[in-house]
Amino acid sequence: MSQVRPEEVSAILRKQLAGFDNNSDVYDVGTVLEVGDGIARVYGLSKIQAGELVELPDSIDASGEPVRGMVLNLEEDNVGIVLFGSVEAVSEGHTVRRTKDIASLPVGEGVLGRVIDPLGRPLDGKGPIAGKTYKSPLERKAPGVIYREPVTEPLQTGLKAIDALIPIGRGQRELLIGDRQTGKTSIAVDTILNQKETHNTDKPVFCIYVAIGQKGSTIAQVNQILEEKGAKEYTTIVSAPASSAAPFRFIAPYAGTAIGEYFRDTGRHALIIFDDLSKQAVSYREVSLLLRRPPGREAYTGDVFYLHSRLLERAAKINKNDSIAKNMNDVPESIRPLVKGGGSLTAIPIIETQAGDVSAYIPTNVISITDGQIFLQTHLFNAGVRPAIDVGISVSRVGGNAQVKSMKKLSGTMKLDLAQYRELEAFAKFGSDLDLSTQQQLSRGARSVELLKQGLYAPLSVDKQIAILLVNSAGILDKIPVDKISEFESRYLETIGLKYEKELADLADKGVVSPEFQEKLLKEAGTVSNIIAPPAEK
Amino acid sequence: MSTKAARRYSSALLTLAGEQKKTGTILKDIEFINKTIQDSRELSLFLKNKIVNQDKKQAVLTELFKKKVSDLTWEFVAFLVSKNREELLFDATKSLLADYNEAAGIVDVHVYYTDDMKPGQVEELQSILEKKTGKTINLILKRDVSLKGGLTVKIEDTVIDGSIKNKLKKLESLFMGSAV
Repeated sequence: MSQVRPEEVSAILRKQLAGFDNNSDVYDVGTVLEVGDGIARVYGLSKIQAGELVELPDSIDASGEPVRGMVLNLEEDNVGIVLFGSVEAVSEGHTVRRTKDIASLPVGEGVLGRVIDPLGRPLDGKGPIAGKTYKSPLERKAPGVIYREPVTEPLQTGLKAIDALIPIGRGQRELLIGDRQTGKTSIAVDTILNQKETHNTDKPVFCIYVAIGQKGSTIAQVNQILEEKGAKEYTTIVSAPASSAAPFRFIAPYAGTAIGEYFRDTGRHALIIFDDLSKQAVSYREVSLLLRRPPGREAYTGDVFYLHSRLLERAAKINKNDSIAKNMNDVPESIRPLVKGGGSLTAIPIIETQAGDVSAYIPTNVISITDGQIFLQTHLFNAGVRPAIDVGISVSRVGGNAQVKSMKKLSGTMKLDLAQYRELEAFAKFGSDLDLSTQQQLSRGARSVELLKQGLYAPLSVDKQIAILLVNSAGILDKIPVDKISEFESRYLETIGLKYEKELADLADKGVVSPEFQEKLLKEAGTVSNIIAPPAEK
Repeated sequence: MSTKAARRYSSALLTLAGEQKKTGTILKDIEFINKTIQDSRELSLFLKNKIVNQDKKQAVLTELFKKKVSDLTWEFVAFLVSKNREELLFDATKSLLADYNEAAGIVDVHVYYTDDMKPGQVEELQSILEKKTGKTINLILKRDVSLKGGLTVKIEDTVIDGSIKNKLKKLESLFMGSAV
């Protein structure tokens, strides 16, 4: 039997302990004066910074960890701290210790495919974040003007209605706004799913889904769909569910943005979805009012506009010149050596309205901050128009420049068709009493609306979108009954997908339909339309 | 720690005393009042009581302090009472002493220890701390067995932690593999 000598054992122990710092520690402390409603007032801590993390070594929560908090208020004789952990563990007289860390989280490649909390701690039970991570503060200044570039590259959502009519560019901020149950989250998830194909190109889009104040079951559902569809590997979920402490819900979007900025600053593309910012504003209101900041309109504090504007400003397209990007303001020193130009961060904030009231405080604020908005309407949703996008009042202020050429051309005629259709829609019930051109416009409009409908989790690549919109603008759909449009669409797309794989890939690459290919597509559409709706024999 | 209102009153008195070059006397008076209230729970409850009427409070304070303190101090106490702020008296004395100490460069330093220190050690600690902070040190010693050994020194908000308890805790987190 082999034996280990006692000297050997102690030698190994000594080696393991070699890193132990035997010196005295110097730290700053304060004392809890009062605690309640997730807020602690602390006396002392005279040198503390706003936004700094603190630890309460005396207050041990159920998991055996000391409670942590973040400094939000610096007052004349006390410091207001929001607590992240259980308030029950904290009581008057407990010590509060400075950590000298501004609230931050670890970012890096390892966060992809993970579910984390707003301080970067994994929640999915898959162990610590793998690979090299870089500490990034939650609050960072947005890049200055010289480090930016206009939005020119498209971000394909895979939804015909959006990509054709309200296009989104990489680096844009596009608001998704609508009542509850109108499919806001579905559009967001579809967009994430559609980024899968970008990972076969040299410009992949990494995704971050920030769930704020949602039910745990909803977050689990999104997580499962992403996993099933193979989108999880390029997506991070930042989870601050309804059960988490209010400060968590309020910092979650900043945490997600810090992750997005890592990709943006290292010359890559990222997409971040805030689901949703109205709940974040409510959480911020909760915290602010408990800290006794004066309330304003709808009881939000005066800085609620800045809360969202400073967040959304961080979505940007970075100058493609590496040497300019290298000097970008406010880059964490650990990330600076990795900085490359040409990256982007696209933000899709979501706002939930109450009974369609877009003139409430938070919706108007976020509408004015973003570069456009997509309105979702309950009546459209109930009428079976899904995604329930109200094309008439949705806009994208910068996305048009980022659209691919052929799509831009087709979307122009489609927008016109739909606008005319909306104007004439009221007359639709007169049917055959109308003159021929009005009837034609009505039938074209009805088919366009039908064409823009799309199933859940079925994003369509841009080449196929162009192929189907082309058929509509050529008037081939006019001969097909409205209820057969979707059948036609799936058959047509299947046929061309099999026959013209190479040409479609070329179209996706260049964004332009050659006249020859256009002819082939239209011919194919004619054949399929004859099968679906045979022309009446004379 | 004292309330905002008490600080306003006390800083006014300290400034006035400085102008009239009576800081020394005022300080002695205030220390006396502070100690009196601190030692008598009855008096402190009496001053805080809202049911007892103003005249009674005035009478009690007159009997207690009028003859024993200087005119300026007595005026201060009477002024507080006339403003219905007699419950601030104790806080005001505390904050005045704190303000004076800060201006004079005197710092309270709390030292927590487990075993009695050898003769001379306390003096040595005092001189080292005075050299380090550049201020006059008012050493307050407290025995705390939970430290298990070593010393912990608290200068205002800053703690110099050389206790065995803290070292054991650091060792624990080293073994657990998490950052200290």
